[in-house]
Amino acid sequence: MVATDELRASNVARFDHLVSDRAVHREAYVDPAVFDAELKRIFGRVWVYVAHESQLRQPGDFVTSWIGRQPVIVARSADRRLHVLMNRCTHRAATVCQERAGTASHFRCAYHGWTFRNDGTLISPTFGSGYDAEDFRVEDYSLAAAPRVDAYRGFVFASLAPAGPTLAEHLGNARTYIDLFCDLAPAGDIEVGAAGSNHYGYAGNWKLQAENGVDGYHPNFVHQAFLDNGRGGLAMQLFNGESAGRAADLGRGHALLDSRPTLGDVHERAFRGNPGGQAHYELLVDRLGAERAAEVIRTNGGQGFNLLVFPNLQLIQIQIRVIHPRRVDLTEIDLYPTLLAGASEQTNAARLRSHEGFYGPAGGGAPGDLEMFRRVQEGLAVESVEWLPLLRGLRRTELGPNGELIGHVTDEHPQRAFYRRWAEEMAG
Amino acid sequence: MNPNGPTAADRSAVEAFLYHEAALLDAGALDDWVELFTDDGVYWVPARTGAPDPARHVSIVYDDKPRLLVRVARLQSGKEYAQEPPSRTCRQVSNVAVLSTGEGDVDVEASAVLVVYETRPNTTTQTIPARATWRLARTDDGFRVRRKQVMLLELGRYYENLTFLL
Repeated sequence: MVATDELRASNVARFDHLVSDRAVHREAYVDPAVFDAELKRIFGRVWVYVAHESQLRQPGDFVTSWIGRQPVIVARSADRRLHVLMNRCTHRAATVCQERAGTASHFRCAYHGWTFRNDGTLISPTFGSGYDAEDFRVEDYSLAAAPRVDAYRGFVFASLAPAGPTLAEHLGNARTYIDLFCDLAPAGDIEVGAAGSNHYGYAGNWKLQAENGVDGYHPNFVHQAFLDNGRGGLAMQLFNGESAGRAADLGRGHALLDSRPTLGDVHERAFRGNPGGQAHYELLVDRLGAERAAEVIRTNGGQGFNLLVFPNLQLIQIQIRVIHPRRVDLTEIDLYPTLLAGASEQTNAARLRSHEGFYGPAGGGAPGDLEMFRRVQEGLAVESVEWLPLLRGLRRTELGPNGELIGHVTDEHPQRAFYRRWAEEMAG
Repeated sequence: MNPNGPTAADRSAVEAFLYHEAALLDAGALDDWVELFTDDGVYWVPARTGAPDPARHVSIVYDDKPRLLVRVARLQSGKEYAQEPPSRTCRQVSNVAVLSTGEGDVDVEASAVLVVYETRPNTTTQTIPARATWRLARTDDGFRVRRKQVMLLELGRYYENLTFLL
């Protein structure tokens, strides 16, 4: 490894020297200049998840979120088109929408009364006679919009770059797992937002959660109190050194933990045995055929995989998890537990109880991760140890049929996947 | 329901119970606290205002008695790192209102403003304001909790740790 100071001297605007296929440098987590560059080069360019179409079924429906730290409104206008608007009045820059979700035909800035249609266009400035036509054309003052918006299986993404890879190209192999996630619903429709959401945050860098959501090495340590019932159940076998589970670098920064080889048909048997489960299975067979129906239940009837979609989206168990970078050492997270449209109330209630058991700020698992992130960020203050190794499983990689790099479920293929893409984006 | 509404004695009895419950939590006597719940008791921290329905809406905590027992055991296992070292709390239970006194097998309902102050080493003290409601069963051993609902004032807040009990 080359000393970072040398490289920095020759490469002022580059940060890709902070990672290699073997390690990450501490500055990637603590340097505000890195964080600022991440906002511009990663969040300012790549496809970022902003909403799910099930939150925006009717004209006028909107949700708000962030692309990096930039506040956005995702709105469906009267012509049913989706718009990703920058939540920033084109006059004095105040945010024009204060709610996380709702229905509105217009967004009015409270500061000086400028009012925008939900497609972003400005109706007219207030007290319009004060503006001269020579200086002011109303069409120049629409809310700014993300130049590219696209959706896959209802997952709406926006890119602040006018050109670049398509969403389909960006998602690549991740689409397979988004399909599995959605296909568990009897008609293939998940409901996002209807069940509400959980929120939590931590005093640490955003990448710690991005890494951790696909880290199969930590559960038997951090989450032992949750997983180990003292009766030798399956839970402690999912992520131990002899597990059959796999971890994968899916390409393009996306990554997967796959517990299905360990789980076998456990979820399928449990799911079909639950009230309403067999009827649900039969609906899936009608739509997908028996083989695919079994596959989706085995996968997502419980927690069959953890998916990271670069840079800040994760699909885990029933949840859509969105990681919001706030400062180099502050991160906030929204969890949207999904319901299955057309599933029985018992099925959906059981999904919610299962989710609450582990996730959210009072869950049996997630707060332990947050405690680790806090400890990591504290430890990163040590300057004499510069690198965090990513060596686990480096020499036990299989090539998958779609170019995936596959290792043991406890290996660090997912983290290497994430940081390879990170370095590509951060190179300039 | 007592046609004259709650009496001073009703209020006094409810307050004594709620203060006892608060003292158990602040003392970390979680095994004693969980036994205040009836076998069909529920401890509920909703994630939304309005009329949350646990069948359709995610909660922060929705524990029946078996889950609550598991939670209490985990929190005290020494391997729940979000509680290692454990939270120290002190809490205020105030503005206690007896909503209905019930009679016989009918439960007492009460509400209060609950403010929990919580700290752990290396963290700043959290102030957690909430409105709590209790449904209390009358038993030969005094009140038992049939349902405790803690409606957090700050539901949009990005909490770092709510693993301690409210």
